[in-house]
Amino acid sequence: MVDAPLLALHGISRSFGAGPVLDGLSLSISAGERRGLIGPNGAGKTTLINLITGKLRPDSGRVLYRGLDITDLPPHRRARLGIGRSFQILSLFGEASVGENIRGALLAKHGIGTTVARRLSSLEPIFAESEQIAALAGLLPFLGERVDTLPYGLQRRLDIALVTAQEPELVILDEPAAGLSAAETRDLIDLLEAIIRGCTLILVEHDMDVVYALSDRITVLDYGCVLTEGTPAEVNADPAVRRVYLGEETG
Amino acid sequence: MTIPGRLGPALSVLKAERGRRDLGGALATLALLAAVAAAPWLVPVAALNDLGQAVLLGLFAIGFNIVFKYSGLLSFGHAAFFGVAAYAEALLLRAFPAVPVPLLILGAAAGAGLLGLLLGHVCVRRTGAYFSMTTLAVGAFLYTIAFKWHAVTGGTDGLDEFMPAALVLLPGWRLTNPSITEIYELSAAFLIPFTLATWLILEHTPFGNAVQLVRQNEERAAFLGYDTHRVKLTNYGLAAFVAGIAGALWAISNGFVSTDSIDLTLSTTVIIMAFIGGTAWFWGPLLGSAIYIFGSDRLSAVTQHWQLWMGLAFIALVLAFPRGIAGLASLLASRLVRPRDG
Ligand SMILES: Nc1ncnc2c1ncn2[C@@H]1O[C@H](COP(=O)(O)OP(=O)(O)O)[C@@H](O)[C@H]1O
Ligand SMILES: [Mg+2]
Repeated sequence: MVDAPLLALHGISRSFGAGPVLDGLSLSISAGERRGLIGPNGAGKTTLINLITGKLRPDSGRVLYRGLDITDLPPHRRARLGIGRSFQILSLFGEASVGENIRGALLAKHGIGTTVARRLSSLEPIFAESEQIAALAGLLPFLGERVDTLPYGLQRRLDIALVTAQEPELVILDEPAAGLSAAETRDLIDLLEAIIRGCTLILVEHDMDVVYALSDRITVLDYGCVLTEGTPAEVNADPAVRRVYLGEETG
Repeated sequence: MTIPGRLGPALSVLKAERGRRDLGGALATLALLAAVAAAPWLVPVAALNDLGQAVLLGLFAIGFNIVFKYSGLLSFGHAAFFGVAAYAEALLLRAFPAVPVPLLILGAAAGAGLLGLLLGHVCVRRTGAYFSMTTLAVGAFLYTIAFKWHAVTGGTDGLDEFMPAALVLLPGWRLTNPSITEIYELSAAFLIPFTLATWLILEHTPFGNAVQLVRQNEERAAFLGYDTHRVKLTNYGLAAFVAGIAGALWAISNGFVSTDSIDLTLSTTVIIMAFIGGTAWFWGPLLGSAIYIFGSDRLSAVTQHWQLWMGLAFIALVLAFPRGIAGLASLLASRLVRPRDG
């Protein structure tokens, strides 16, 4: 089992009416690896993440996590197995405060998310932990702010903070730098460096600075298939990749 | 991003603010429940009957609002649970007149709660208008059963004469020909602990927190590890149980159960009550029920078109104070406490 991959996708196909979005895709990620996943818009990157995390089921193919077939597990079961994800389109608890968002993630992680045997206000360790995570994500000054009143850049950080609070074994980030300024993106790289230490990472990102900074291998998707896979240097030098992806600006 | 040094104070301000809000909520809750307990001595004897109705329909409206406020789902068929428990209570009293009545009430309410868990499997998978339509269909279906199944429910005649001559409260403690006040006290003895426990669960435990997270963003809650269907289902079952307690007590307090206890009119009346009182506050529906019952009583003494005036008053209220009377009161209270930033 030493060499068994943490995550293995076998022959995954998925279509939405028209043509297939993913077409017999296989992919394997070993524990501790940091995998960048790039490809033009519409290549099926978000769809792939949805299949790994349980928002979608494949038409055919299997998803194995630590050797366990999770193809048909609902999202909450996969989260409990240690798969955490962020969202390309922000998905937060908008009416709650930053602190309440983080606390919600922590309560679930500690397995007391739905208990009636504790008083919320008595959970001092959870409050302390929320403050630590908020501090790490640079959100401490905004702990009591309602999330939907926060600027976009801070909401992005909260998205990452929620994944951090989950302490997942496999972290999947879907375009975490989308919509951020250059300065915000640099801050984000620092934050991500700090939180993914010791985790396995799948990073979907258009900003190649972020991809190069954080991944040790890169997979290029095109039309629902793996176009190529290799180290950042290999991928950067691959003519096919330059043609379909790196050459043209991201759309 | 660096963390400024003034954070310590900012945090304690935050906690103080939160603590003050919690304290305000707890005090208002205690005041309201004290009023429920003391009400028989505060209102004129002639109003005791209305008071009993207001409290039981208020309990029912709280049950309705558990689903509306905390899960964000508008049920058009919540009378199903009230009515089923009312019928069950009547049948249980008839079958087991010697069993202590609190057990029968709990049994009838538990039956309503289980029915909620069963029907919830279908209903809470839907959201928005689809949820409302499903509950409407389920409500209409149960009404039809009550209406048609004459052998059990008495059909349009309803059920009566199920009250034993002496109501067994505990072995050795009976109420012979209970007075209105005694029945009211029995109702309050159920309402106070059960609503308080429900309020604590929904406002102060991780479970209540989970219900509210699922309402705000079910998808994210699922990806954080919450079994969102189960959270909604459990809350629905709780709401059915609370409505069931109200229905069981309703049977005892009226000594009569008919399709009025399960029909769609009752399902909509309870929505109106909840909105009058204010759905944003756990206890708002109880206030709304009292205002509705006493208001319609006054109006019906003045005019036979009281339902028309009641309807107009409801529309005016919803337009002027969308958060109901409780919302208005909390606005006024916050102005009194902090007049400068109102
Ligand atoms: N839920 C869906 N329903 C219909 N089509 C979808 C759905 N999700 C994705 N698609 C389609 O699948 C293709 C790949 O989308 P996506 O996985 O979001 O690409 P990427 O994230 O690589 O930009 C797109 O053509 C998109 O329109
Ligand atoms: Mg995408």
